[in-house]
Amino acid sequence: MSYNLNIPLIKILVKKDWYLTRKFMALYVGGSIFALSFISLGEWQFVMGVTLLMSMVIGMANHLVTMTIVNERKEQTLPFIMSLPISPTDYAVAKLIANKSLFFIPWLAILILTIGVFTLSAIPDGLIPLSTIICSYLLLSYCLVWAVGMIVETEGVVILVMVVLNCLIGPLIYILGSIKDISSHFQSATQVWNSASIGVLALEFSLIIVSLAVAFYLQARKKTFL
Amino acid sequence: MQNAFELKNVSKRYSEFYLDNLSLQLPVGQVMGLVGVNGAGKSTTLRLLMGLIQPDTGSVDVLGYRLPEQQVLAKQNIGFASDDMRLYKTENLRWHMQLIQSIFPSWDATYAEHLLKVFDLNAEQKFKGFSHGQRVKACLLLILARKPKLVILDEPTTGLDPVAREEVLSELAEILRDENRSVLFSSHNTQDIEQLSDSITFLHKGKLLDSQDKETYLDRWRRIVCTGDINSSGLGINCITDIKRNGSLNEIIVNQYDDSILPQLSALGLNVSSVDRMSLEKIFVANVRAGAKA
Repeated sequence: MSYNLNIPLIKILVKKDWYLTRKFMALYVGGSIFALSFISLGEWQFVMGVTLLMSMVIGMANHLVTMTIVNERKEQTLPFIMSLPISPTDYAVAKLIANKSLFFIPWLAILILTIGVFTLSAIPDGLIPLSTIICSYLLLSYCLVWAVGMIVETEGVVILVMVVLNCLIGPLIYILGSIKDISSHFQSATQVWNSASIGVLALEFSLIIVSLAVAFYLQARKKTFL
Repeated sequence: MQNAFELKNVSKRYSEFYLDNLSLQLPVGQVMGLVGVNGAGKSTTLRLLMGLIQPDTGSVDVLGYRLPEQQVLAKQNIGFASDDMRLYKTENLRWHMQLIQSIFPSWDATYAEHLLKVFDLNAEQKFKGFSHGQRVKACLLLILARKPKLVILDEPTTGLDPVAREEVLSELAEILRDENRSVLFSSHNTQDIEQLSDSITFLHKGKLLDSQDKETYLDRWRRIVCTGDINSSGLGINCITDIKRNGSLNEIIVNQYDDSILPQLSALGLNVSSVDRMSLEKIFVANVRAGAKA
């Protein structure tokens, strides 16, 4: 069945989410820049900087989904939005554009800045593929949490998924460290992209696409939206 | 006469609830009060009319559009508010007004300012500081200033203090002067429904018990007090919905009163002492009791 999206209203809803989240997004981006400002100054500064940087990106992801999707249900602003001339599909598209742009733009900026800092400082460039894979995992986690937030109406389930995905960061770093084709280049002066690192990255982006497609498919099949 | 909405043989099944083959229509310019206890199916009916629920069977047409497929077109002219609806607590009412104004070209800024004064609302106050009454009035302001053709209100006066309730009811009465505007509202408060509605619809456990214009409906019901013995098999009169006995004193509730009832009671040896019209509240209780016995 063909369906024409209500583009003007989708734009208004995207702008609304950008407006409502602007203050805390600025805080997370500021925190990330602060982490990058001292990450190359020494060994413990590197550990502290990486920890703070990852915390900022994870915090931004979880805060975004909580504020724009979970809280709209919990705080009953969803009936207000759905009383507007909008269909559940329009709502899903607005949420997709708003959330992906809200997260993707700062995420990409942070990734580029991180690569820039690594390239310009004494930190080995060999860590860039590992950093990119971990950064992409954070993007994947965000997309999975977003998909669960859109499909499931229970806040507890969304929080559980957030916790599980955050807990998997440690094991991911351990597994990447145990893959010789990736870990053998950590201390290299130049970044090495081989089939192993590109394969992991490709897997992450494939899962991102699948998670978004599943969320849209299930959203379209919902017979009771509110 | 054109209908503002029309439900035809609509069914919707949930694990604990079944909306059973509901057929209902509201002519343009009319006000319908939807009455029923919690779980009767009022909110489900209103959500069907907003396209937020897809019926299992039957059809839903609102303002000439088939729902849920054409809900975007229909909702251009529907104003919906429910008692559990909230606005964004970090923003003020002015921000919400500007948001709605950017969506609806029909927004009447002068009328919105008038409603701000009538409802005694501060547009610059953040929504998190609003009381329940102010929240309800703010939601009503946002939908009424759009001048929708159909207003759907789910429990609009629940939890309001008497002053706020009066303000809301008088403003609702004001908008009903527009003959092309239709209103459907659900309420536990039968006084509100009696005051505003042109027609009354009773739902109970997902079934339509009754739907009729208010005057005819209220005129049908009577409370008859009489003395005499009523045997255990009853009186054999179909329209009796309830009989209460206290010694030889009996209270009989009838839902299709006409002039033939009293001679029938006399013929059965009962001595009628009074026949009273009933308030909607009493009818509501009797209807629910009758529904529970059925």
